[in-house]
Amino acid sequence: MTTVITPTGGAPAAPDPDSIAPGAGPAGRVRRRLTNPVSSAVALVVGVLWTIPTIGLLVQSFRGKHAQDTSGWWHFSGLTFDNYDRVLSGNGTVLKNLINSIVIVVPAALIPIAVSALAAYALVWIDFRGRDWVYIAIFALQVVPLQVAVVPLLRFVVSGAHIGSVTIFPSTGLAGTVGAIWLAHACFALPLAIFLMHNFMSEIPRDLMEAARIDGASHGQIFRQIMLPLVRPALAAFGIFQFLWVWNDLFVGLVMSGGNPDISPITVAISNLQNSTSGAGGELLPAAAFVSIVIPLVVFIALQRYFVRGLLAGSVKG
Amino acid sequence: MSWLHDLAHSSSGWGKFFFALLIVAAFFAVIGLLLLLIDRAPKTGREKIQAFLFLLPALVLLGIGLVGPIIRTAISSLTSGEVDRRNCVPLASLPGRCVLDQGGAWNNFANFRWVFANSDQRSAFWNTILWTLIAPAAATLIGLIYAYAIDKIRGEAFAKALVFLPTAISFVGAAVIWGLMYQQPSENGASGLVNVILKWFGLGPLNFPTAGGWKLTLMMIVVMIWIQAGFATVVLSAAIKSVPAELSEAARIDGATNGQAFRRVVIPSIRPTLIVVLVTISVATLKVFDLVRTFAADQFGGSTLANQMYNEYLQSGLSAGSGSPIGEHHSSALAMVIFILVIPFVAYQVRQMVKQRAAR
Repeated sequence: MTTVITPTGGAPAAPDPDSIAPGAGPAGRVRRRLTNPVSSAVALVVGVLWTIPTIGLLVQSFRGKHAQDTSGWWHFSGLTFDNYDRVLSGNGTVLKNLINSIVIVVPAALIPIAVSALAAYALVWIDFRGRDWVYIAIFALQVVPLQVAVVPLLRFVVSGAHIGSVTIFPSTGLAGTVGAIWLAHACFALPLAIFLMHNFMSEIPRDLMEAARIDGASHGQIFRQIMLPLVRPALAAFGIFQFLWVWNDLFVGLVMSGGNPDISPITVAISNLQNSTSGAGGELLPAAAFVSIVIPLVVFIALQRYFVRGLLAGSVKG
Repeated sequence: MSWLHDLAHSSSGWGKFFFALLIVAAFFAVIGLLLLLIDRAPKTGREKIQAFLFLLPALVLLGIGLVGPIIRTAISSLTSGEVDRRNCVPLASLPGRCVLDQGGAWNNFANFRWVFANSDQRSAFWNTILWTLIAPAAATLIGLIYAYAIDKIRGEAFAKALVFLPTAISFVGAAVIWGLMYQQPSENGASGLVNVILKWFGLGPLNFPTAGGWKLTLMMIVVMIWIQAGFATVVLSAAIKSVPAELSEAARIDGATNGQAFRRVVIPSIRPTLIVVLVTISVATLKVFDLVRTFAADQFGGSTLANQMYNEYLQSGLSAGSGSPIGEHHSSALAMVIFILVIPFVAYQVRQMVKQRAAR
């Protein structure tokens, strides 16, 4: 977004994400609204409203089919591990899609990290004409709706690029493989990734770079030995952001996989399960959904600090 | 290379893992090679060549993944399914060929006229407008009030985390969660919490998703607000904390109430952040797809532009192998309508960024 993220986490437009922790304000400010009943009531109501639905799903996921059909989850009746057993057993289709999601998410996060770090280095530390315009053009691409890009990209994957009868690029051979999904996620992530890396890299002191140049270091060496270690927080921030984005994505996975269950991610499987009105195995839906939710939730809770930085920096992606 | 083909198309988990490992290794080998090449660039015009090599992978991916597709979708939205060369725009550089070779013939905005003449697409358009009018404003307002209410209370971090957690949940997961909340009362006795509570007040069930139209859209907007309010809370809370405490205190000493201090001092100070949050959620809302698809709401009059775009794409038979080619052109037109709706927000963001760069 328009927020400038610095290596220390400070940002002018949307300030310091690290101050999420309470009591980060200036010393001496009192907990003035502690006793204000209206504030407490608002906090309580919103807190409950935002938690109950997820708890409901968690409880429901542990209830057998009969219990699910005859009473609400708040009865806590018919508790069993059966649903999870069936979801995570080898012959269940949800497990297959879960593995697909894992196979999709790792390259789909690593590839744009490397590509964007290279590009950002050139945009910040090498002087060439039109540099600012290249950067602004890439930034503007950030907000192209995926709806515009995804179908032509699928066509490219299937049949290559042609103008008239002239082939510019041959067919990639990735059609029907997870490779098609990686490619899509890698392409779509780049504008945000480059923007994020650019902001981090431009905060590195120029003196450091010049000293390295005077000592005879080449751009390749500076990139590997000085720049990469210094921007590690940015790599992590973007990596987590991209992990969550890819894991939670439905649209790209749906179109690029063509609905093929061999390669489609877990979101596609769950969407299909819910979408087909009360078909067979409907009682597994809460457990399957919870399995898909738990992984990003754990990543998110463990690495929230980094995630917030990524979020503040680029939440308009896609 | 048939072993590679087999590995790529393997349906076993391990096969896919090895394929992923192989591709990632190959990718990093290429990057390593590129860095070697950069250090061996010729002396003349060295910097320029090096810059180009650093940018090369990004430019290739952006070209095939975004720039090329935009052009292609734009052309496809302006042409018809049948290849008719009579109306082609001739290309000076390639005699005998024309710009529209791939997409068929220019059809005088017929696809866009179809979007606004067809009742399904028109209703999807107005549903999308309804989404965008309500969801961003409501999520931002709730985030603002909540962020202010929990500011500096005991357990603030916990209170914030509660609301922020849905941010990590996929739209698909949220749809399952809220599908359970909205569940219709069944003859066996199960019912969603929302309908149970409505019954306490003597109100009828919500008829989700069969209620259709704007009612269905409103019920889905509630889910969107539930997802997005956490983002608004976290960003706005950070902004509220950056407002100097002296300002509000000075206002209160001058006799302002808590509410007045909030409206007259805090809100003007965090205005830029408020706009950033509104713009961000608006862009996400204009493209809402997952929720509608997972609720199957598009079958009950709750469709949006993004869902119609996908449905028309399916109609085109590109994925299934049979269908009418005009579907892809209709789908492109719908995608372009979303794009056009997003452009004001893009323009605003680019302007902000250029301003920020100028300030540095």
